Amino acid sequence: MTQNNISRRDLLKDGLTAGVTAASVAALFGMPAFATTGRTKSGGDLTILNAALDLEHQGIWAYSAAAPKLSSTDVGKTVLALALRNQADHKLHRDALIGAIKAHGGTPVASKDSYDLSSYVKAGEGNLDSDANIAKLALALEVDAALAYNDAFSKLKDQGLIAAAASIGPTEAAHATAIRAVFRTLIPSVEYVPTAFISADSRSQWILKV
Amino acid sequence: MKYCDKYALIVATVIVAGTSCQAADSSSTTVHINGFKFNPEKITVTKGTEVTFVNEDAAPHTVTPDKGSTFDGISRLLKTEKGTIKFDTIGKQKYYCAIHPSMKGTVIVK
Repeated sequence: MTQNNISRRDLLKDGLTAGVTAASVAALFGMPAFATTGRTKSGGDLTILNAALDLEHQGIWAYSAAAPKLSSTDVGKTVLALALRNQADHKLHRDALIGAIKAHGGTPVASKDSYDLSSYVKAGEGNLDSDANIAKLALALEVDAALAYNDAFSKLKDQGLIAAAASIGPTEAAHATAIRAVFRTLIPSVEYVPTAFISADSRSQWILKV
Repeated sequence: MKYCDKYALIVATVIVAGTSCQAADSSSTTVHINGFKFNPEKITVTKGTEVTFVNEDAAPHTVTPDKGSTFDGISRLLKTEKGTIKFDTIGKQKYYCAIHPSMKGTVIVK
């Protein structure tokens, strides 16, 4: 364990004991504080935040569900390491979103025991039956998370929330790029970043079909 | 104001109010998916009505029947895609988006 990790853990423990503010804990991890301007208490904003929270819950669950199904080959180990890395980010996003929803007077949606990913399997955008297909499923979920945050940028009313969403969306695109990088080690023709834009129109270029 | 003018005004008001409610008596109607919300979230239709769902978000959505609901859902709609469901069973038909389960809607079939 690095000194940095020890330091963060100790600081977090001490901070919670001392009643440190959520914002300062968030800052410790580089998390957005989701400050609100106070001008807007929009039901629409809460709807969007809860939909984003749905995605974070789903992403955390998906990586946990997929992990035991990965093989012990080098490819499987590489995908697992990346999955755990991405999952850790999603947990921080989840915590930040829960804080934001509560700060706006809303009720955060709870995580479910399981999620229905059949629409992705049916569309040939991944599966849980092989290392490659698990990685493709994760890629599709990350791309759609990036698209969801694109929607959030354009529809959130609160300036503080827009800024915070803007700090999460690119991370989802980075996760997608990292997964594509794993595929590139196996298939050199796979581009890290296949298009100049990540949008609904370019979605099919980002996703790798089964 | 004459009596007939008053009557006409009342009738006109009732007609305008009637068009703004969520009841759909025609054989087809549309639910827009925008801002991670089904709009309108609740509609009332007559048996046999076809409801078209249009996704206006960049993120994909599904129209998945909730427990107890009896209709064939829509597996997935990408941006600008639309899908139609015919509601043939009388009662409250609840649905949600499987990708964003906090998104919920209801079709009341009469």
